[in-house]
Amino acid sequence: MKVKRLSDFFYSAEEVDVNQPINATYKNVKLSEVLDAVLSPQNLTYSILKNQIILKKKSPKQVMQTSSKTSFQKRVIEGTVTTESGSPLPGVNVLVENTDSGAMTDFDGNYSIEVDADSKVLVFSYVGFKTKPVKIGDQTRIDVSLKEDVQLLDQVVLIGYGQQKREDVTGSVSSVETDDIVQAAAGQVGFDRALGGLVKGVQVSQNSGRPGAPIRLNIRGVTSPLSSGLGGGGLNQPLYVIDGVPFNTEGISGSNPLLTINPNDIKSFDVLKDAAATSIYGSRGANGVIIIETKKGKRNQKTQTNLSYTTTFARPINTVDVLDAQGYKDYYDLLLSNSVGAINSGKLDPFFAFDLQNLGNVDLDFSTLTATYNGLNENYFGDANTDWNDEVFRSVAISNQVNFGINGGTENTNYSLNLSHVNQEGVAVNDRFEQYNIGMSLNTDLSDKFNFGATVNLGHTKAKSGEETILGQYNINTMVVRARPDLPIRDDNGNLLPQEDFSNGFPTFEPNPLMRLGNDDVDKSYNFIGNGFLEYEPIDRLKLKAEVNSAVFYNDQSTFVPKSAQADMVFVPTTSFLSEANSLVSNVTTNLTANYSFRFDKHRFTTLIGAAWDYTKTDTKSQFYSGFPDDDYLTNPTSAENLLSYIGNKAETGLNSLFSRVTYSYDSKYNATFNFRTDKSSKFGSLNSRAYFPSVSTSWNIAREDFLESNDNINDLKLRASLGRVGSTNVANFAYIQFLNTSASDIYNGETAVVPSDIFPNEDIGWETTDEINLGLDFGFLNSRLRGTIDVYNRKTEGALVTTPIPQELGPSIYYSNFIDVSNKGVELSLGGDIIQTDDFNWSVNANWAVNRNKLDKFNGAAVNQFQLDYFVEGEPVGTIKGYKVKRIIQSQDEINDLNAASPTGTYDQPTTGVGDYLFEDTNGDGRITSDDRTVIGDVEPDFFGGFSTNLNYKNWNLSAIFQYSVGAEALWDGIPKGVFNTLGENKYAEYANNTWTPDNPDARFAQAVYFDPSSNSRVSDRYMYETSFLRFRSLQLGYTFAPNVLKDLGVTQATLTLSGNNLATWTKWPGVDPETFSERSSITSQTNNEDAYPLSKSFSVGVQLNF
Amino acid sequence: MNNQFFKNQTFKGFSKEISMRFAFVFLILCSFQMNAENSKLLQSQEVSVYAENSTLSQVFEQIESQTTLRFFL
Repeated sequence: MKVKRLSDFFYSAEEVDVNQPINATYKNVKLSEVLDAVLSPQNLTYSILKNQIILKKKSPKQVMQTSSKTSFQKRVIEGTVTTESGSPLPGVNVLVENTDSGAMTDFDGNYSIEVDADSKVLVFSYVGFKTKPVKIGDQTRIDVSLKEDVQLLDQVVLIGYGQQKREDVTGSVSSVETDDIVQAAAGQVGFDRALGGLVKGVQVSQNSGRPGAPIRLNIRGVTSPLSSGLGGGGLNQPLYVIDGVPFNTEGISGSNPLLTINPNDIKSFDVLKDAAATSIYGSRGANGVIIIETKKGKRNQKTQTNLSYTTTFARPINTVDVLDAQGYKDYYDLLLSNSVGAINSGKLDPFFAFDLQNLGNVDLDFSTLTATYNGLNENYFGDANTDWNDEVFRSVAISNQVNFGINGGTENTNYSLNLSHVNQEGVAVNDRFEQYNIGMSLNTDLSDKFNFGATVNLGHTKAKSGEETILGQYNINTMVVRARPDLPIRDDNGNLLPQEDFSNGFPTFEPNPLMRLGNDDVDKSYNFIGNGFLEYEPIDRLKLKAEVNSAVFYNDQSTFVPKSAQADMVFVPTTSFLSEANSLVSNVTTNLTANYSFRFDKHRFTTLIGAAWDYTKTDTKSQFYSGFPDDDYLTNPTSAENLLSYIGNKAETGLNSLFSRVTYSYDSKYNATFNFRTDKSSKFGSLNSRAYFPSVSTSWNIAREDFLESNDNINDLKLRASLGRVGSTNVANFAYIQFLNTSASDIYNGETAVVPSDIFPNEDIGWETTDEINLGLDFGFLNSRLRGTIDVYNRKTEGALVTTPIPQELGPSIYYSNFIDVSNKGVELSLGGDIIQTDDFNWSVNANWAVNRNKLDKFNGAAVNQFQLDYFVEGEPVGTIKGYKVKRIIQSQDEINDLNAASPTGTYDQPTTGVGDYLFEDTNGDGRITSDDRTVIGDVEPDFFGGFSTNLNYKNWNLSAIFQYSVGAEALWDGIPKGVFNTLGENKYAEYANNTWTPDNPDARFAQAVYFDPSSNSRVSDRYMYETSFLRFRSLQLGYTFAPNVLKDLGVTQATLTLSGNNLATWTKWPGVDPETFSERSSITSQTNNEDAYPLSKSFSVGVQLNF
Repeated sequence: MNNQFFKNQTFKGFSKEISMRFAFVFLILCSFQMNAENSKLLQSQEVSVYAENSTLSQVFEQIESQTTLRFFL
């Protein structure tokens, strides 16, 4: 017989000698046993594919393993032991149950064990992993993956300049499961978008769904509501420490700098919340600290390669609900009829009839100044029925994401390299986002005493958009709301068709939404986050470390606004604009630390002292040009007619710090941590440049006490208490000295002049300090199957910086001072449970709930401007909504006549207020409606918020779901009051148009629609305010992990297929696009208005993860 | 991936397209799984081999005659 070659693909070069002599006699024996016995001595192995047995030469390694003699009384079982993620596990004990015979896995996780024919079970055990018994049966190859035995108590938590066992932690620190981040980030870019609902007490708002846009993340409330320094409008973002590199995201323009880190590369994610935990970061800890460490290779680990690929299909989560062509005409029929009625009742100036004539057959009788209305002017209205949502949003936006990683280690060195690429289409046409990331790490023992390590994370993003941010045109949803549905998209020649409307009565050619999306906005960022260190251990347990950390964020933005994207006012010629801006924020921090730990008896100490020098440089430049010859080609700066403005700013700031920490533990029962840090900042004058940030925290491990030690049901019970002080330097640079500046607009005697800056220097400004008390309880019952944490805190911030207007006579208009006092009190709770735990089936549930009560304690006379005063009211949370309360809509003239008669001025509200208008509540009881009647009608702080998740595992299947909720916050639905003015021709929200007052609809939510809003019904009132409560089904993921042996021949140690859906459903009463998004401007005050920002996407992703 | 292809496509067409792509990947991975199951089954069938001073190829012939399996290099 001749053994055929299957094909060159499977064929291995060595010939197999099939004519070798052999002696073997077997009767009714399993084929596998026969083949093993016959082939093994020939150094052959086989695999079965369909009905073909494919012979192969054994690799030298396999030869070694199976060198032992094979017989039928004894047989050899081989296999590989891996972790769940497919990494080979060396040193695993493989034991035949109830015997002493065993083996151990080699460096590659392979083992080979000789067992008696009647042996039934092999037991695999390894420290840190759950022991796994496997039935032998007929198998000759048993591949096993061991599950990590994560005991909550043994987890390590990063605490800033070091780490601690979770058991010893005394401050309030929450950790996030990296699997959850990866899951929730599927189909999106940026790990921060994935955090919503995952961490207790961390409020995550995705203010915009634009690819690459930053999000708003807040830990335990706002401490500095108006810290307008560094471009942050009181955002109070936490300090991020990524691989030891600290940086703030506020003030960094363009794309989100956090995109530099790929969610798949995150190894650990810890959130330091209370002042005791964050005070080691002193002046930057006031808004919490998020410590992230990326994945590094492990020592003594064979090189592992992983590859994952995800394709995502996305659509907008929701679109604005607007009138169709018929509804649009019906609305204008009603509006014209109402407006003519208003002319005739004296409410509306008769000469507005000329405006109305553009849309309807309106005749004005000049003798009586009354008008008549005889239906719509059919010439004005088109007969198309265009759904602009279908035009501006893609039916499906596709993104592809590839991640590739290599990591491993030898005895002295470990390394990793991670590459990733994302190519994402925005849900809006013309939007596209690309991202490239590289992460590298190396750690090596130079000698017994020296250890060296470095981490580099590089990121490049490029975002293209059809919207622009320089002129502040309508955002995409507002474009759609205003666009006329009765007109076609293009004219007969295929050109996009502008839309005629009548702004203030003048005919205006509005670009249709697709024309508006013709801007060319390109935002590129180049980011670097990296560090390097050298550690020296001169004597045992004393570690001296020198470390240099650097974060560099460079952003380059170019926006061209063509004429065709702007409203053509007929009388005012339009021009095109170009804005070019770039900014560089670079930060270098040098740390020198010494760490020493020692113990005697049951006393355990660790001490840390360190010094840090932090140097930040910012350099921003921008130029603004106008007047380009055409919209398509000559759009570079040299083609511009005018240079409208140019700005350049450079600043260098520094922070010198000394810090120390002592942790003490007695018998692991009583723990205490003392932190002390002092910072000196160049941002403040010599009087206040230095500040001190001490903290103390203690914990009592009750479960370790004798009376509970023997109790199997309670395995963790820990009380924590802490007290500490932190600060914030997140303020404008050098507000204590006088700046001089010059700009094109500062002209003296026809020449450009140098003038003092608008900000009056205040030498007395100093640190914002936040003091916080935190009490906490950690518990774990029934072998940690039920576990949780409760934290209660009270934090007070004194002297938050604010700019305050000063009398104009002085010249400058504002100055900085430490005026504002704010407090935050709250409770946070997280609970987790493993409800079902069997070998094949696991079901766990986690939930968290948080409540924060923010209060603006004192304004201390800070005279912020009138506009801001609506958002900041003493005794109320920051971000209040002030407005009128509507009692009802006036149904009869008598109602208003009576009120007018009772008013001291003879008019209760507007002279025109009458039937169909709002009856505002006279809250101060003075008989008339003035701006003093505006009261706080809502605020942006939720009553409570959080999330819950569930995870089901059945054999190789995994199903997990994440939900996020927020209850009790309010916002104004911005588009409605803006539309109440009723610019003739623009389309309307269906919610508004179908819900205005008419005699037939007396219980309508909105006042009667009348052109030009003569009775000022657009004044901010509770009729335009809605609750932004929501429950969101953030993520659902179904995963299937293939058995390790399935793809072994391809060299794949693990293969997982995942199907995930993001933002699958949102339950809310919010009538706009989304209660979570609010504005791209994203300051605290913009959160009070939800302007139907760029929608988040609802997406489905298919992903494959392979480990080699 | 030809994104242009998707751009003007209806949602129905789009869902068909995703289902097909997903089904394709799934089928490939299923076929690996099925092969693993199948191979386990085939290996457990019983055979009898009588080889005194024979060659390896004779053993293969005996196995081939008792099963549907064929040897390949």
